[in-house]
Amino acid sequence: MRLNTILTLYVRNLKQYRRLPAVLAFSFIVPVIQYLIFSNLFNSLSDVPGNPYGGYPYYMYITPAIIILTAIFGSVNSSAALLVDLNTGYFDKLRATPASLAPQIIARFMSEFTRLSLQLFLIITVSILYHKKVSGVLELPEAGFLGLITIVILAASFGIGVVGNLVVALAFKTKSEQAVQAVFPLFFVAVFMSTAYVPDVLLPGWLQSAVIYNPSEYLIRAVRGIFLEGFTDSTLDSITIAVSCIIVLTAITSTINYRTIIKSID
Amino acid sequence: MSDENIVVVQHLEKKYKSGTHAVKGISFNVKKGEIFGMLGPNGAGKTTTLQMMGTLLGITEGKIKILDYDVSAESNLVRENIGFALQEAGLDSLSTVKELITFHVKLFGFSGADVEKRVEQSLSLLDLHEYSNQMIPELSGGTQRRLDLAVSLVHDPKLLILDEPTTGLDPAHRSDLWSLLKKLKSEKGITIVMSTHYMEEADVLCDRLAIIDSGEIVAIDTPQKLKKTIGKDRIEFKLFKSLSDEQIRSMKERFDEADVSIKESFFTVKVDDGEEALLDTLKSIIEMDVKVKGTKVLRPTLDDVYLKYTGKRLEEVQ
Repeated sequence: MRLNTILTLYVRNLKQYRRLPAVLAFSFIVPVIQYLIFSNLFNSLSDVPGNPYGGYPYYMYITPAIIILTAIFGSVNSSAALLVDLNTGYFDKLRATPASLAPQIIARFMSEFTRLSLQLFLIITVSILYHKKVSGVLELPEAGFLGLITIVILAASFGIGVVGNLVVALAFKTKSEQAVQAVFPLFFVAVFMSTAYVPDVLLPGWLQSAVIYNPSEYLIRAVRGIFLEGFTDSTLDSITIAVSCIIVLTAITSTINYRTIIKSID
Repeated sequence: MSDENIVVVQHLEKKYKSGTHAVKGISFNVKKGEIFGMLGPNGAGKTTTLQMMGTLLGITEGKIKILDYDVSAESNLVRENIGFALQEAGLDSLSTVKELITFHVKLFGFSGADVEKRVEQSLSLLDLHEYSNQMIPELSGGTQRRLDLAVSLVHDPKLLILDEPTTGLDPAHRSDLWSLLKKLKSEKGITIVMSTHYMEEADVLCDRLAIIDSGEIVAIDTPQKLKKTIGKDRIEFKLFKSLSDEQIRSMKERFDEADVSIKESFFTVKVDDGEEALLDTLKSIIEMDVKVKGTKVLRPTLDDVYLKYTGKRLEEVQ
């Protein structure tokens, strides 16, 4: 497998997005709208007695949730360009060239990771600008620029590794945009069934015991820790758990993806 | 055409996981500079065979060697040396013509000034200059086929694999593509392996032909030799009135009785070369005072060949 081939495919995949502006806009605008609406609508949640995050304005509390949501939105859409190739037969045509199968898949994940990372930086920039508008201070979160990079890497890895793999497997299995988009509500519910929007002590009892089984919860805890508290000991613990979760889930979803792809082409 | 084999297929089999036995132990060779055709109806196993040759499908049994590279063990080397155009012109619908050709040139490892040079060569060879900045979905079916060929040829492959290259094209575009393939063969010396279910295409274009039915090769040779296996040409005469007993006797004396067939006002005689024998035969008939209304030369077709080897007409099983 030549590095040059993967690089050529990677650049071509990124260029494809010039012609898919709706995909880029959709996966960015929806989280921004949700961020602006929720920030205002549930602003008083910070004043609820017993809220451990009462010291932070609500828009800061939900920023990690919006980051994760952007990662999920962006990853569900990561199949859009792939589906164009699959449905036009171009994917198969490339398989008979040096692009073959593995370089195409690797380059696709690389370009989706890049696109998603840029979108995540964009949403973080929106949150920083919103913070300036509200507080009058232009400042980075507690963990600084390194923290932002860590957040982006964690969120993009979760998005592409876990959601992206499942979505790509579904794309190969169904070759249908509608079928792929139909899974989005599942991930949306997963984010809601966590402490993304409401701290655990304020969640209903049944949900408090359920969140521990929700993998996105561990990612949200790590991102929130970096965003609100910086690289403290407890944040580092959360990052370790989140990274472990991402590795295990990516291994599982990659296996599912690999089997689906091989089955679909032979 | 040289004696060097570009493609060697031995006892090739393909069984899908669904249980379908698509290719049943076929063997054939393709010589350098040859246009080799695979003729058969849909579902005969042509596409499956070509896809195994193009590294797109795994081989269940047997072996394929392309340019001495084993398709299973050295698939990367095979991909670098072949051009493959699938049944549907599979092209990137998010690119312009020039962007797509440029991408394919880079994909085959060319860089710097070579890229521009090869893009220009491809645009010229396939006459695509006027479309270079057009988006691919805006192109007609025929132009998309030409572009598909252009991107399959950017690296000067030694072997071009074409799966039903003219399916869906109107007669004018089909004829253009035939001319182009002949040009590629004569000017660039490219070996072509193609599948088709058009008899005329197989007849006009292919140096050698494999007739495939239900995953098996039932006959393989040049189109001319295959047609020869059917027998002689026939000249059919339409007469103003049925022949008298006297005229029938004269006919059987003049021609070999086994070659003559008389049915109401039609008289048919078998000859080696219909066009060459037509005038002499007509003269003989007129001398017997037979009034001829019309005549036509009937030559064996590939459909007759298909019928002979499979027991069915190709047109009926499409």
